Amino acid sequence: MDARMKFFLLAEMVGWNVTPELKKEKERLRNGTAYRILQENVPEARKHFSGKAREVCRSFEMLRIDPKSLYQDFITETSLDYLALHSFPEYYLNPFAIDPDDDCPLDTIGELIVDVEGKEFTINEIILNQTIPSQVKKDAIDRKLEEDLADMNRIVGDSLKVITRNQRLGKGFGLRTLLQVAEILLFLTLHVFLLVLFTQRFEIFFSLIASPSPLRAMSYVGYGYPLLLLLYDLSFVLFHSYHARVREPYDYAKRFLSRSSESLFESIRETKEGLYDYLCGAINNRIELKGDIKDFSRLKDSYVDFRSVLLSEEFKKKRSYRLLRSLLLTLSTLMVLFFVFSVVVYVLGISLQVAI
Amino acid sequence: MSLSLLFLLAFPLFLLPSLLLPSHRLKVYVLSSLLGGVFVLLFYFVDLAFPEIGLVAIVGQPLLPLLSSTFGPEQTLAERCQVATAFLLLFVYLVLYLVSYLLQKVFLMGGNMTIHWSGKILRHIGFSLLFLLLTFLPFVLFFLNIRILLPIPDGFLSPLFQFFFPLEA
Repeated sequence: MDARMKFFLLAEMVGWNVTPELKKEKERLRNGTAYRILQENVPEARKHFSGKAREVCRSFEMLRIDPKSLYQDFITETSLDYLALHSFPEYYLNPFAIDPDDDCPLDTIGELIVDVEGKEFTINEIILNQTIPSQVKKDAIDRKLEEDLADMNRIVGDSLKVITRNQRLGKGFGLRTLLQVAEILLFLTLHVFLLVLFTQRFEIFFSLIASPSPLRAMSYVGYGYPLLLLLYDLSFVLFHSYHARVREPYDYAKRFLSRSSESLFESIRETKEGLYDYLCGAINNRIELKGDIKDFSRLKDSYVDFRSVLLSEEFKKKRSYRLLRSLLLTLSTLMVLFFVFSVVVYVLGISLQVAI
Repeated sequence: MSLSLLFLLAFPLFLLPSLLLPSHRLKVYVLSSLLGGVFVLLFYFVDLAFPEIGLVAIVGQPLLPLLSSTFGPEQTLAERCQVATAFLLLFVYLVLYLVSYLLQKVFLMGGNMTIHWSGKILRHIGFSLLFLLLTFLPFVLFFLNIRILLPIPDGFLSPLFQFFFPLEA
């Protein structure tokens, strides 16, 4: 805060009206460097799952640049500056929770920031620093890695909660299971009816297939039903194959986590120990780190794709998914209506022995 | 509409899942249809290779009373046995499929599809071919054996159908 603002702050404290200055300060904050930095950095932070990234996003969303006094303005400006500084990936990235398929804003673990005795350094700076004792460096890095490990365990825990919550919802309400069962029953009923239509001996119906008449409803049943059923089958197969494909990482995670979550936590701890040994080796040999930012990621690995679990419902927003689902629902509805029509026509025809 | 055209139109319904399904799901369906598919294919293979055994007649004859309403006077005993056997094999296939599927749903976990390895595509192609062999082929065999009941002609593949499953009429 410059001298001029200190003056107006004191003036406010003694009761002067500083409204014009307050308005200017609001504009200055909104157009200031810190706010612009946040507007650029927060969208990038939203892509990451680390606790610090989420904290940055949450703090930004809760930020209100509407101070009612110069004193509040001072606090807001300090918060903005602090948030803007910590909105850079060096501060919030967790080496265990980096998406290996996405472009990472950093190239190496060496660019991550670590607090060493109250001062902030990048890991590469710590490695190359000749004044800080080796053990102090290692302790600082170990503390940071423990924080990152706890954060990664939280991500795993959240994934477990998503799966447990989805399972509980399924058991509690049963609506999803009921709908799935209803869909399978519909599928089977439609095909069994087709089989009955074309294997049950009903000469009148067979003759209308051989020589269709536009005046007979049975002709429409004989040709329309199989055609519509084929379209329905096609949409059914397309939708469910696509659905299975996009959901597979989540389904695999669900299967895995429900059986082996303990071994997963153990394995993540081993990764942390591995990273610690790697960094200690770099410290001992004064080797600057390069190109290794994704080497210790556990976000998508041999066990579980946590990203898919935490974003398990995102695929339903995709245009192709919605299109296929709409197509299936439309054809299912048409099929049900035509099925009812066909059953009525067929049953009437077979019971009255007339060509309806 | 003919039986040959029906098979052509139905083929994409089996091909699309074999191409689009993820590896684990495809593997589950292949393993589910393995027992039933092998049983059906083996049955027909034995019947074709050793017609003197009369497997179809042995299996189909006891079931004829259950399907009496579907037959007309022009169908011979052999054709009726063929149809009855086809329905029995369909039932056996579905039961074996269901049992295998439920067992796998409980016990099979599968691999992580995000791990990429060089043989993955080859394995998927292999499973796709197996899937078609164990699902589409039994589908075709079923309809070939009940075609005397169907009010549609054989179509352009009639010589092939007659070669494997001749109709006496």
